[in-house]
Amino acid sequence: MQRHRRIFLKWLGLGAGSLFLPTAWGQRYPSRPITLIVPWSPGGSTDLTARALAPTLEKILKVPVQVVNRTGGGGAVGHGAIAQARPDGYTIGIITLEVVLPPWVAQTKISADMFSPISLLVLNPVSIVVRKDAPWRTLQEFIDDLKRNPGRYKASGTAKWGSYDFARLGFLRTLGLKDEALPWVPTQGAAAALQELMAGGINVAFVAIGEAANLVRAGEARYLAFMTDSRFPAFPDIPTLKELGLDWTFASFLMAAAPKFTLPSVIDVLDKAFAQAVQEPEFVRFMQNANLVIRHLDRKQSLVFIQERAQAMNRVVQELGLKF
Amino acid sequence: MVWERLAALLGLGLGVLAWVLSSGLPKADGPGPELFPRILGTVLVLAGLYLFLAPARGPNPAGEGSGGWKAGLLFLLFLASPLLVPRLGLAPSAALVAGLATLVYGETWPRALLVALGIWALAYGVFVRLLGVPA
Amino acid sequence: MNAVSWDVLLALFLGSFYGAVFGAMPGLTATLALSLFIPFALFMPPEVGLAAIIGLTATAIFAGDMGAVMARIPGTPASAAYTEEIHDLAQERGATYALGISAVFSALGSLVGTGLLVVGSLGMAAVARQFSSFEYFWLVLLGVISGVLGSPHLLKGALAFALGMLLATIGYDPALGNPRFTFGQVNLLGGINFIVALIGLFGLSELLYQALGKEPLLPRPPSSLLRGSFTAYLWEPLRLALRERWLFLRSAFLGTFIGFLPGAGSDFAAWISANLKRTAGGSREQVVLAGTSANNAAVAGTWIPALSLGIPGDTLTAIVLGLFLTLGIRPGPELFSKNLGLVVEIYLVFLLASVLIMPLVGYMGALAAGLATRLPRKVLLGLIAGVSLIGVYAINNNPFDLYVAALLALLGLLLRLGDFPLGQVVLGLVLGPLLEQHLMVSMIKTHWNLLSFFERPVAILLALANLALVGSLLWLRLRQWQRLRALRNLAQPDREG
Repeated sequence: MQRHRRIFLKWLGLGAGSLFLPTAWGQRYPSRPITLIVPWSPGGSTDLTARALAPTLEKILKVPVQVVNRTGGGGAVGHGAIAQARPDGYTIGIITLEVVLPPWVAQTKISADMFSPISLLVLNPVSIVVRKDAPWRTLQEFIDDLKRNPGRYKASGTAKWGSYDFARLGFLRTLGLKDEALPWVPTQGAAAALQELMAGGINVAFVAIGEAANLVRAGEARYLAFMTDSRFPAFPDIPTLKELGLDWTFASFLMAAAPKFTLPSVIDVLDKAFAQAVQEPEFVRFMQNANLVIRHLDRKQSLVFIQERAQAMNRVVQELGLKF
Repeated sequence: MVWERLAALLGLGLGVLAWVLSSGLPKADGPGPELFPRILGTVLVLAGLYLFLAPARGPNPAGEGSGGWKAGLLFLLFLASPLLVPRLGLAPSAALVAGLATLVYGETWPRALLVALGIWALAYGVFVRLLGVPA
Repeated sequence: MNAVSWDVLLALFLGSFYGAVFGAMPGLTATLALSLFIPFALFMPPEVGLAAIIGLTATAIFAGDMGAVMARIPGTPASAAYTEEIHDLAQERGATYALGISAVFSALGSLVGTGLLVVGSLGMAAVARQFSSFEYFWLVLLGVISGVLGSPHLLKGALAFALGMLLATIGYDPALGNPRFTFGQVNLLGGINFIVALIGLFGLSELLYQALGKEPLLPRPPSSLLRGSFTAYLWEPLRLALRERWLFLRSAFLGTFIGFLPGAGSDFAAWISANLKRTAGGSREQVVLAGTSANNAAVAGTWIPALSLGIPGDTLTAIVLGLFLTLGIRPGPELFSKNLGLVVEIYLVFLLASVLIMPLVGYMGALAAGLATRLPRKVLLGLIAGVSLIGVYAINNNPFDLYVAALLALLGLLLRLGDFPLGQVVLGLVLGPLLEQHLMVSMIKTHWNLLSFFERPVAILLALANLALVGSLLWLRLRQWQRLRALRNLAQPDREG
């Protein structure tokens, strides 16, 4: 079923692509308004980023860029709208981490390979947070305790199979532990998880660095480690998992993407526009204040990045034997 | 009270459906996703059964009007709207539905046209232009 | 004090008017209004943008009552709790009087909420932080119990309630994160959108009901709009306020308290407060005033955890927090030490919004309502059809939602014809997911140890509150029933037994 659908889409995409080839040559791209689809509701980080970028993109591309929220279906409706749009470069969107999370992909039948990445825009690394009075001073102490008492402590950060759940699963996998060693308590998001952490309902929270920053600055909570490649500028004292010998990074991301089979030349134009837009001082200030970390990768690197992420998540699923 | 029995029957049916469908849900150790729908299903079955067999005698709502066909037409109009929006765009579809609904209620042509125009202006001016709802 | 400049006043006024328009129109929620405003707010100085936002959120919740008065369609979910009462009131005593009650008690409720916001931003936050899923569970159960026992017919209420909760189970389940009852439909993965359901159940089903030729359900035009109605608009509700001061104070305090609990906003506050009064057998005026003072008090209440902890009290404050961060304002204890001027300004704007803006904008709304009732009924119904359709579509920009709304309209019509309470379906839609979420989270945390619900002091307290509520409500119903039977015995034999 899924396969038929894929083939059908591929055929549809090829047809549309060849149909629009002459126009793409005949006219300079872009020559009419561009629609930027946001699969999440207004006011969220994806929406805010898109709306902050749109005016600059308009200036660079010299055509109107209209931000459209296509919400519902847990992000499936909007992502589907991007993937199934006509691949002419006039309908693009911002895709999120969900497209590489195996449970979401299995449920929605939408996967990373249905998109042509334009630019990675935002990378929000995840942190391991504990309460200020937690018994562990360092991550190593926590890991030792966890190995001695598997299943004793509980973690949360989002819904079951949500983004931060995979941050935990990957962390456990690198430790050689199973899913049950640190059970996941499903909550409705980072704010709810931090509330549970404060109220003593859970022992560890896996949330984005920015989401816990207020509690940490107020002295109510502590970061044990970040799942970043290198130290995080705003908190230079917090070690990364890699430094501690654990090869695992995790971040939620926002990526500008077009439907598959969009012409590479068109994507190049868009990629350059995004690259320029994310450097605007106003946008940089906006993102800093929103605790969102700008990380631009060009279209080729973005493709490598998203494929690597999809493989890493699938590896976690296979090695832990997860069923969903 | 035929309507009351019908609604009770619907509740009963949905309760049974909740039980049947929840048996196909993935299992957790201990009660899982099926627990809550089953509680609700039980409530629906019990309440529906009781209300079906012994309908409550509340204040009788106004007797049967003659407008069954009107309601039917309106419902068809509502059902047609999701087919209209992707083809005609939001503003024309909303205007069409509002105008036709006004006619179904028995209003005159000019007024229905006025309603359609007003809704078109609202949909186009405020939503499509100002708020960027895709047409 | 230089905290309130002319810019701020202008922003407050414009924001309020914008909020009133969005709040009064079904399908346009305060959340939508705020989200669309955020991009503009980014280009304003923080105090100006915040003034507009406070005005917007404060009046949007109040203006939600207008839709309920005019067309029995709550403009925002927060008005759904007492839609039927306020609409009946408008039918009986004129739209101006109904809107007057709404405006006066919204303003007063907001005033109390503002007072508590000032006092409690630091102190109450410490209490709220003790709440984990156990406490939430009991609190939500309080809402469920009062909703079921508060309906006119117990079993019908329970059935309507369970229907709403069952509808809300569609989508990802909170325990394992798998889709439930979606029938393979990707559009249903995230569940049925609450606002889409609201418009379908209340708005479209009303249109169908009217088509059946039932009695007209639109308020009669107020007799003398300007001079005469002023008494109805301000004077009579104020006298009511004096008469019902304890009920009002209780509702406003309850509303603020529920508002400041993270995640529970003004709709929940209105439900609890209105239902408490309804189950106690309150008059329509009392139910409406309990609901409308609670939901407006809750608006200020949601800002307490937002300001003092950086944890949003509801979806609106979640968006506000997003704006705070983009503007470089960091909520939390340090906000009070570093940015006290801004905090004081927020308090002052809340004060102004409740004392000045709400009655003013409310009066403009009352005038507009008077004008709208002069439209021919059939024209108004046609307009409602159009606006509902736009509203349903604009929530997600997804045509699929129109099917959902149409089917729910049919369900709503059937329930209405069978004399089932529609409000309970909506209540189930709101509370069902919360109840299941907190139940499953609590149980997963403790490996199905049921005793854990009674281990924390606040949880025990709330459990006892539930027990007390069930006991007193059953007792009330029993007494009502006995009185009814005594009356029936007197009025024999023409009543069918």
